[in-house]
Amino acid sequence: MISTTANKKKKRTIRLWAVAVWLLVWQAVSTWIGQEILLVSPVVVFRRLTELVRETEFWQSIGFSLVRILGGFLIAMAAGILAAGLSARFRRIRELLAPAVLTIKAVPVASFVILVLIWVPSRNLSIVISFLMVFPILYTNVLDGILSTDSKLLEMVQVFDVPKAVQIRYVYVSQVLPFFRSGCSVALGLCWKAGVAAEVIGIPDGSIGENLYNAKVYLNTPDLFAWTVVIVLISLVFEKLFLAAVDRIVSHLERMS
Amino acid sequence: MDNGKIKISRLFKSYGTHMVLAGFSAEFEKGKTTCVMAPSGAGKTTLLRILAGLEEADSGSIEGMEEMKKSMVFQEDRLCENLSASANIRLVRQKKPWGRDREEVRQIREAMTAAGLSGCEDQPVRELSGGMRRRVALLRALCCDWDILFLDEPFKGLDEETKKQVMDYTKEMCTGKTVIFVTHDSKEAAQMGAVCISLDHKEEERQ
Repeated sequence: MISTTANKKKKRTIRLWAVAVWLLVWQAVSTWIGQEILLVSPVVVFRRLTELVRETEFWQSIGFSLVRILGGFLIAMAAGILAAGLSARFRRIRELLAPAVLTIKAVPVASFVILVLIWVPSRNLSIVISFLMVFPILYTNVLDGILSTDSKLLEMVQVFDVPKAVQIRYVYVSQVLPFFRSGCSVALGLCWKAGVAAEVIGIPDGSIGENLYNAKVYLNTPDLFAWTVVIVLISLVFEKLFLAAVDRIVSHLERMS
Repeated sequence: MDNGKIKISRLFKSYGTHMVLAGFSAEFEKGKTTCVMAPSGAGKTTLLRILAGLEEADSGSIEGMEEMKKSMVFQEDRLCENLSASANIRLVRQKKPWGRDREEVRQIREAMTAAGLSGCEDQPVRELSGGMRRRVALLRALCCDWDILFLDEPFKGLDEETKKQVMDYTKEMCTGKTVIFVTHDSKEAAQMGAVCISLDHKEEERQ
């Protein structure tokens, strides 16, 4: 595996000036429209956010959704890796899972939400939805990573009769990690989007989704924007933390001698 | 069967309509370095791949290699790019995925020094030059626990001075062991003190 993290960082860096320009555009458009109910200004959103963070319910809602959405993500991650490992080893499992994964990818989130609401209580809805969004991505990426492992390296370990566990750690893990990393990057954003969308439909008590729903019902635009900002921030922070952890694992493996 | 020999009888291998090995037969003495000489494209690598268990012959038999632990230097380096030079050598010696043996680390460092790789131990192999990578691949094969070593053009890409140093080290490490070495360079075979056989030693010619 050739590390391209530094290049990616260069390409993806978000500049402060660009953010400032967009905030100014937002402020200008909001002032031009002149109706907070249609487009609230960033200043009002910020003011509302500062009020929200002082409320216990705000943190409870974040905790409620965070635990469930990330729970779904982690379960899907474990299941995706396991299923990909089995699929790479057994062709029949790969064939069996292929239509299921394709179906999960193709079915709209809203259909899943409504279906799942019949089967599970609304409070656990976001776990299932987060799982369903993450599993196909990580399964596909990890499987692609395993299947694209350098065949010449596999021949090398075969000749030297390297034990399977050693092969997994030194050959497969390093070859699969870039695929896993990019899968996680996509899946983390998606699980938050889909998880909160599910909560808006299922309206479990004390969730971020419920707050968004209430904001919509009462046409409370500042709340709607404030909660949206919160979701984006949590999603970004968790993505950065998680990918940093993956990068640490990679560098630990690279420094193994 | 002679326990001191590896006996190859009437080995045939073809890819589609292209016959690579046409009834190759030979005997390799155990504990010796045998060099299989042939021009490029004559099937030397295919022969080694069959002996190493990476490919199956269409027909023929190989006797006397059962239970032998194999080691190999491929034509390409086949190194794990993300791992350090010493980790690549250690990889094929490890029995468990975690932990390391201090004595083993010391042995690898000594071997790397002998091969002119001192100071590169912890450097990722992707940062090493072609010649250095070649030496890492060679050390990986020499430093593991092996009974038979296959060398497929192992000194390719090395400059004359390094080649001599590495060949002397390889010869020393292979003394009294079974080595099958393929090359088209007769000077290399002579320097390795190998018994030479030709891959053109085909069935038709034997009859």
